[in-house]
Amino acid sequence: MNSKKTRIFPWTLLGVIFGLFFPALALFLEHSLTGQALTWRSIYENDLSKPHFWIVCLAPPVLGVLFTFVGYRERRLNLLAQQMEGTVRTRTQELVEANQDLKKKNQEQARSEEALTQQRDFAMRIMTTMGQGLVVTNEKGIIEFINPAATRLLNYDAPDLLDRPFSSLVSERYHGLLELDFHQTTNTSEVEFLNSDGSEVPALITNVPRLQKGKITGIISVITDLRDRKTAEIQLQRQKLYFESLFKNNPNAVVTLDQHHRVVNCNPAFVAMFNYSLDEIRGKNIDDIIVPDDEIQLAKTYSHSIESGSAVHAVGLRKRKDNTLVDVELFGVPVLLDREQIGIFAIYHDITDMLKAQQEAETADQAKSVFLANMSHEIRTPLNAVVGMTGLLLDTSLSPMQREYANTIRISSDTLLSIINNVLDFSKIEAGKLMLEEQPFYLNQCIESALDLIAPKASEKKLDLAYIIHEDTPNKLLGDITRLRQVLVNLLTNAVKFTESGEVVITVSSTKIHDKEHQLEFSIKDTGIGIPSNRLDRLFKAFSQVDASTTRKYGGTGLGLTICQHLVELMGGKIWVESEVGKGTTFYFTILAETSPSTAIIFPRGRQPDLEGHRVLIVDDNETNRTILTNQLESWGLDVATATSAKGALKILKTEKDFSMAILDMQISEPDGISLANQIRKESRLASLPLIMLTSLGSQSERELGVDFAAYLTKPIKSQNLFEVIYSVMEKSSRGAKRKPTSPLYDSEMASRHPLQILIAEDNTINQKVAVAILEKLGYRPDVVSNGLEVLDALKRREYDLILMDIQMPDMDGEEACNHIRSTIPVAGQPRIVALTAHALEGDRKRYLDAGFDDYVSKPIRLNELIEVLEKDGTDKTTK
Amino acid sequence: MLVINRDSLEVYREIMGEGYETFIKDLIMTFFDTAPKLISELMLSLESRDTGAFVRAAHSLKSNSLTMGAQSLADKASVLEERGRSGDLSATNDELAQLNVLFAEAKGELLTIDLLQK
Repeated sequence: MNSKKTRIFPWTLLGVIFGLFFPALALFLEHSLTGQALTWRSIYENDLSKPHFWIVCLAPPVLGVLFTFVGYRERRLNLLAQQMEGTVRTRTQELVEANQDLKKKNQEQARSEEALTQQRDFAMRIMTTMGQGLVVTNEKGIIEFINPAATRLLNYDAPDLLDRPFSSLVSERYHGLLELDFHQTTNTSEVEFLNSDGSEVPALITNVPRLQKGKITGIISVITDLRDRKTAEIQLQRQKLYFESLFKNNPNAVVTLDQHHRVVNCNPAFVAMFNYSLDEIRGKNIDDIIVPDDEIQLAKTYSHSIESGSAVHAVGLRKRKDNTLVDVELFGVPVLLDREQIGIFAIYHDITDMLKAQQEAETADQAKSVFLANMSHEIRTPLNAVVGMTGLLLDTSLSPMQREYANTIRISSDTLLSIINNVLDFSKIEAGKLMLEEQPFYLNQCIESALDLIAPKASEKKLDLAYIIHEDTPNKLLGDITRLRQVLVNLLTNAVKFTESGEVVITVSSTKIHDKEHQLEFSIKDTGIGIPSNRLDRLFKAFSQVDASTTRKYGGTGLGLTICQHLVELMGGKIWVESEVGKGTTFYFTILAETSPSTAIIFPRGRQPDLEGHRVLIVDDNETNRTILTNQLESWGLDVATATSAKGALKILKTEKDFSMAILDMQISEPDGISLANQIRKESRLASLPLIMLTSLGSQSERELGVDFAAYLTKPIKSQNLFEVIYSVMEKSSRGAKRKPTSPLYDSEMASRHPLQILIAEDNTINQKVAVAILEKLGYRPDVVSNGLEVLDALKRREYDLILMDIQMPDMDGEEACNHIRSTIPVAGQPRIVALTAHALEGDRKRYLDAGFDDYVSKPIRLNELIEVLEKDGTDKTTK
Repeated sequence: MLVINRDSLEVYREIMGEGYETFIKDLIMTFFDTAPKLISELMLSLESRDTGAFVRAAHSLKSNSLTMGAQSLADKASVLEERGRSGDLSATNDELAQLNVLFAEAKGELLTIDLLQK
């Protein structure tokens, strides 16, 4: 609202002023007409008396009033105008707004119309493209709408179906379903439609009442084609039947359980095995039914296994309805569905027959073993007798012809014995009955004893034998020394057999595999006739020889190498051969062995302070021997020079000084070792040079040939022997005090560490010898008596620290003697008395202690027991 | 199974070392010498009913046989020893004959024994 009020005063003023015009004019006119000057005086004089002056002077107020009215009118008009403006503005606003509303409404309408159209289109599209059939009927059941899917299902064209009753499309029996349901509920049911060619189409229909303004005006029916489902159902049914028949026809007893181990189902085989019908056992716990009492515990562990998800496979006994038992192999498997255990599946397989067969096989096997063992004994016993008797025969005086016959028998029986051993070994191997021992042994001893066995034959043929054990090869091993030796002897025998001249050398090296496990590689190299390369592969086959002629010439069963191969393989190794005809053959084999902690014999290794720096001359024409000797001596710290002939040796000895000793091989050629020795002795400077004779076995006669050798060494050279010989030669020739070897040999020092005067009282000669031998090995020199009386006599003659007293002796037994000693000899002079007894039970110990003995040792005497007893002596002694 | 149990002799191998062969041979010879004497002793003491001597002889024979590894001979001697201890010397004539046979077998094997082989 226009707050500005129109001012009235300006109008009034204007009216007045305007009014003033009239008097003014009148005055003017008057004055102009009269010619009077217009002054206030004149006015006052003239005009005021005139009435028309006052009339004219009325003009300003009248006009003033008039104009005031006009002013008021103006004001009112303005106000009205303002009001009108306001109204117009409002109205316009309202109109604008109304207009906008209308516009909006129009837009909305347009939109909803569009949306509606879209929905309609969408709905149409759905209905047209949906896979399920759609039929819409009116309240009379006439089809008003039918979608393509439905027409496809029914194999009709849409126009043909419109205006038809819906029920006409369905088999009669389903007509009820198509009636209008005034309860407005939805129902779904399976029906069969009749399609155009009259066949029935299985379908699922879902009927929804069609509502319009709260009234049911028809049905909307959604139709799902069930043909595929029906086919799938049939297939599934067939699969189900298939698996059911697998279950039923399984020849093994099969049972299904729920997760609580209760029987759900079982097959006819189960019924047949256990004699329970399914009805009898359904719902019962399977373990309660078929597990015999002593297997319950085990069965429970199986159940637990399965519960935790693992499968069980075991063998056991189960019981039938009549309580008889049956051996079964059983399988138990958890059945999982979506990772959840819903049950258990168990199979029982009757193994009665299988067990019987197994038992029969075992019996046969056992019979075979017994047979082998018996055969062994049966054959060897008479053969031993033959060999033994022949030996005895040869000890008697025989005529040369008789001796020759006897010798032949001896040789033949030896051969027979070795053949039989081979054959028996072979059969044992074939039967898988060969067992390897595991005992500690010394590698060098094994090799040396193998060489000893063939040394006679080798020396007959004038062949050199030698062995080299490489530095890092462990010497004390765990294994079967006999079998290893058997392999070595076999290979050596062959080597010697097929070598006419030269040498046979064994080499051993090792590779560490583990902590204690080593692979040892052996090679047996000979300079023999060799084996043609095309025969190499037949070597290890049983009963084959290189060729028939060699069998005739060299003999043999052809089993030796096969046995070697088996033995080597049993020892975890391989065997192979390399050969060149005319040059020689080398057999290689490997074995796996564990080292055994070395406690006893310490092999002299490393530099020996007492030998260090001394010079030795080796004279040998065999390079292998020279190498072996040089390596060994140098490893002990000796300085070595070598010569291959007498001439060379003399040259060296004459020109070089300070040799401590010389080792001369007797078999060097012209001049031979003996001549060389003689020549050396002729030299004044060398007259006292210690000479060591190196000779092969069987050449003892040389020993008597005048030259004073300091020592003898036989080939093949054994390190232990070599060491002892050199050491003793060194000792003898040194002027200094007797020095002990830095690596103390086994226990022989015990007596010096722990000196004791020992008396042995034992009436049995053999036991005496054993006891004495053992004590002597330890360094002691015991006295021996053979009954209690002699003990007392001996005690009169001297004091003893220890008496080893046998119990059972004639004239006075051990207990009596002990008593006597305890009661007659003063405490200070009491010897320690140890009982030697064959009865060494716990109870006996007390008996002997009560009888006055200090301890006892069982017979036959064992080294470690004896050592224990001897050592105790020292710690107990307080007086002596 | 051989008559001689090699293990009994093998135990000496480690102790005797190099002298093993000589030692065992000596032992064997001694055995050949003493065992027949012990068997005669058994027979004599049986005749003269000297139980003490009988038991001692049987005991020694058993001990020696065990040392040599002649198990069967040792077992037989042990049986006789027990009999003797229980005072019953009656039914032993056949068994003495058996002893001879067992000894002969042991001797046969020991004669041909290869000390370097097991």
